[in-house]
Amino acid sequence: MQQPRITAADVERFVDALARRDRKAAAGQALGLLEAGAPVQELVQGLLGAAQAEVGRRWEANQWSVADEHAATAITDAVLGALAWRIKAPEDLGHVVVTCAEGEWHSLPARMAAEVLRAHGWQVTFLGASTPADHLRRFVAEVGAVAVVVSCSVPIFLGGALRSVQAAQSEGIPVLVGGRAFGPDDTRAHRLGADGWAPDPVAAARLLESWRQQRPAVGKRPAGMRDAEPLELEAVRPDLVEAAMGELFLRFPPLAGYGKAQLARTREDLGYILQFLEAALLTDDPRIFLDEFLPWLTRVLTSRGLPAGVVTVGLEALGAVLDAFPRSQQLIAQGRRLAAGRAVNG
Amino acid sequence: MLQTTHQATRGLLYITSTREATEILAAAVQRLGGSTIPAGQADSWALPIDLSFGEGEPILPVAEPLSLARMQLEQVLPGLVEDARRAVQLLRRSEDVDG
Repeated sequence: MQQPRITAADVERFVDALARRDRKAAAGQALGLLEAGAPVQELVQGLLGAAQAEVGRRWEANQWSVADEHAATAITDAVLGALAWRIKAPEDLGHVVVTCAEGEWHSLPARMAAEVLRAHGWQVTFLGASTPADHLRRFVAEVGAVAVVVSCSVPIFLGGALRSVQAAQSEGIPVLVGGRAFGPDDTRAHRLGADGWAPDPVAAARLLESWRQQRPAVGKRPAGMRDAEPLELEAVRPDLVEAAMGELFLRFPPLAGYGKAQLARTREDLGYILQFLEAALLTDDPRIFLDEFLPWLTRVLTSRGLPAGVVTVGLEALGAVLDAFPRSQQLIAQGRRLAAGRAVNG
Repeated sequence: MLQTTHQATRGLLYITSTREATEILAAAVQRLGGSTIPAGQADSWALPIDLSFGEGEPILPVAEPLSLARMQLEQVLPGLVEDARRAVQLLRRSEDVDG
């Protein structure tokens, strides 16, 4: 039987079901494709994964609310659960533990990876969202896992991913990492000392398969933190946010008219900017801050009616209070130039 | 914390609807010192983990950052929500509502 390919029309139909919050329609479509011969990994990545990307895009563009996004994700999760019942694999390749990085609460991508690995014949235990590193260490030692997969979607939790990687490696177990936070190549995985990186669940299954032939030397990659600046920045983040708020009042007069909730959001945004900065410093990968976070933040804020220039002003306010952090200053300066260009062009 | 988890997990064994699973989780969140809020009203104190499992409005747990309640929720909720998810999946499968 020829395997049906997942088409853009399939994804659109699935997203329509999510938009209507119609779980039965979404499940019926996915299970129909499965019965027609579509492999589980194709459904997980090509249908569910693609639909979730569209969910994120609609939230970013302010077309969907947070509640819409959560409702859609819950339905996709339920469909994944329905597919999982129908996976008939021997699960005899070994026991793999899949977990979200400490602090990472977006568990659906990890759950998708877990089911794809199960479909490839691994016995998989999925530990859930934001597993404390110490829980992970104790669990993998108890069950005798052959490998651990750590998923991280948002770069601000890469520090948690580092702790998860180190926890598993301390028990001599190799760690594969994946998820959007790790970016388009293995740079960040390498800097965090992971034993492997995969761009998607199917690639993860292949890499784990290769480890059965040749087990990696656990933890041999250097965990390459250049200096203590990201940790020092994290320690004083609340103070820096307050200081930057003071600067922002001087540089952005409309702030004086903001209500309590708007001011809280502004504080939150300044905090997020610092957290992404910390992630870029931790992994020594400026793309996190310059190429991924700032354009995303600009899109999110402008889609909600704020002028693009507000990002530049925020960066200026933070730049004014980061004298003691030279690498951060440098990234903020680069970010300001890019954001200013976007404000002019956008 | 252990008693709360145990009580919630036992409760999940006997659910007859998804809404009951949500109620059990919400009660556990409250016993641990947190509260719950509709996702549409959530602020930065909310943990981004939906307790509704796709039935009704999404509901998120809330606790003040760096509080004891927050730390307890962060320790307990990941595993408890996974158990609840499993219970809901079993229920849906038994009702054959997933297709």
